[in-house]
Amino acid sequence: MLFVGSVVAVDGAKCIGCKACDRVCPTEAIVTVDKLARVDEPACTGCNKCIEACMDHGAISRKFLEEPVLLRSDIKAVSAEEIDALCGKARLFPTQVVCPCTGTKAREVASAVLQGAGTPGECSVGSGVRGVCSMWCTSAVLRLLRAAGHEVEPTPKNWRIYPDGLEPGIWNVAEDIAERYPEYRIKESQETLSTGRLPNMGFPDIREEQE
Amino acid sequence: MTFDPAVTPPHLPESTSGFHLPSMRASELHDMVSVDVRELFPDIEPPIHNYGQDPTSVREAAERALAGIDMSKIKPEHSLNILCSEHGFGMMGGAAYAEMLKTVRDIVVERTGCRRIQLGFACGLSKSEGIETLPEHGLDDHYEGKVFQFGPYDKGVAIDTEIGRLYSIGKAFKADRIIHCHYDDPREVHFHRLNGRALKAFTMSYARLETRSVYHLQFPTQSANLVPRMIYESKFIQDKWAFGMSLLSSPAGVTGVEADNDLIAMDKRITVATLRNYGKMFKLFEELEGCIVVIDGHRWLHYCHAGGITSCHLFFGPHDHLDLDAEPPATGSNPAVKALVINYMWKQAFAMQGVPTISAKPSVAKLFRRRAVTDIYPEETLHDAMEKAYEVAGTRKVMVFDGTYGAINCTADLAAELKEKAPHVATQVDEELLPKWMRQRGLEMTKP
Repeated sequence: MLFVGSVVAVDGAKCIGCKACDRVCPTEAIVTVDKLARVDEPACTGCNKCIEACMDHGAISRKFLEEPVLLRSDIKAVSAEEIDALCGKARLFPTQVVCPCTGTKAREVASAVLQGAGTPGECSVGSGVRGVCSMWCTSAVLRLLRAAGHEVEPTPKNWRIYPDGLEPGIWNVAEDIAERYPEYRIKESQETLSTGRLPNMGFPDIREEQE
Repeated sequence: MTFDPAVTPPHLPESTSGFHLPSMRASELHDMVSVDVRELFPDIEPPIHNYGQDPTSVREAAERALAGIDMSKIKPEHSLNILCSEHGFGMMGGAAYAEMLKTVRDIVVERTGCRRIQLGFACGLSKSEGIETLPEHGLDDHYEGKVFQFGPYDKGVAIDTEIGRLYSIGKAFKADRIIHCHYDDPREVHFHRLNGRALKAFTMSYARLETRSVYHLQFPTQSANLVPRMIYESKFIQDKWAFGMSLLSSPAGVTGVEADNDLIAMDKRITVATLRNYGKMFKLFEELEGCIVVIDGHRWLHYCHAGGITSCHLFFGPHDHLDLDAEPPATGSNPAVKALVINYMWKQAFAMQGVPTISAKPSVAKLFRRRAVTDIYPEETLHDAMEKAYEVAGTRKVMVFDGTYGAINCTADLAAELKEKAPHVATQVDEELLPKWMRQRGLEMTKP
């Protein structure tokens, strides 16, 4: 859940149409058309990555809203069983906070996916997740989308997200690596994982395998 | 019981990352005293430098550390990126870290003839950090204008590791050689568990947001440091790797500089020193029964220092995150934090949900409300905020995170608790915890 207190605005006189902004926008809310960046305000979460990307030109600034806009997902709109199943398949606990910036829980993102969100950007607008830094929550969003059958393809011309950089996980570390680096307690973590819990992460679940 | 007067903390420079500067610091409140960290624990290593002092001693320490480094991998024709991170400038005002960064450039030029050197500044949240910080410390001039910044959203570069593909920031590594220039501040021990601290930057400072997410959400904390280890040991990094160096600290201040061609060897030495220098202070913070936290520093909420300890260590207590056999939660919800007063910090609003938060300025409350932090009380002055905090917290024990190393600014009630608990904590760490922490990390107990 995220209260969006500000979006961004483009100064047309300063914009040179370089697309630096739309290459980083996590929700594709800013798109360059005819050499001018344009903002789809309802899709903007106010994360300010475009402002960072445009720092050399200063064409983008914050635009404070009169009233904050609430981005949230209604978890009662779909059945708890469906949410639990999707979270389990994605190795997430439904009540786990997957986005500390916005306090968004896995079940909220799962609900957004089950209600039709099929891209990372739609998950953000539908639940608030990834609405600020994206440095914690991105893997959870990708895992939930994949669990629901939505593959996110790499987009070579921008760097909004690198979906192929999210494969490594404690569950797929090979045995020889675990043995080579005993200081990281890989086997111990994997054994705990096999019991269906991994305490200090609050995640994963092997319900898929159990089923 | 008598106490020393409060010490003057590092100054607060104007920053676009922060609010308007406060009219008074928490250390100026009439009931503030201070406790010297080396009075609590005399075996904390004494500093060679602290805030406001001449950094020549840091330069000399860096020169000594670099004397044993093999720089033959750096040729005159090479491009070289010296990589630093924003938080290093949050330690004691940043002068010591800046001096280390100036020294390494000077020595490399002298010994290798390489002059195609850039300083790469890893931002925390915004590139405005580097725009302010680099000129403040004269680093843009020292590097002849060859400085650049990068953030986690910048264009990535794929790094194929033994555990799969990960992404770092392209321009950080767009050079023939790199030097990793970090610091040992054990902030966020709840994530790295001091089990590979010197490598953490490969999954944070220099990493794309996807790799940071992998570190946090796809590995438990006791295993997560495999991720930066795999990046460091990848062919991509090793081909460019020249050496690493680190500013060394204790809760009393800067204690020296480390450097090594082998980052793993350097990390082990840093780990031993950190366990010895910080272990007792960590344990003491974990033992606190209840206090009001005042944030009054030139960084984000979690990264302001009190007696050299970042506030996140208190927030993520009372668990022993150094104990690798334990399973502490990776969330900050220490019941000992009874209230939070914000006098000054950089703008960031998350992670202290559930703790009554009192702002000494209405604009701070506005920011928190915008991010849906509900338990926020807007007050007009620091005096008013403290009175409100005393009322909601039910205690007059106050700890101030204002960037101070060497001493903790606090109220007499808390100072008394710190002094009373320190001897028992020292005994417990010396006899039980330090040997355990060392054993868990495969480190030998040697004399400091």
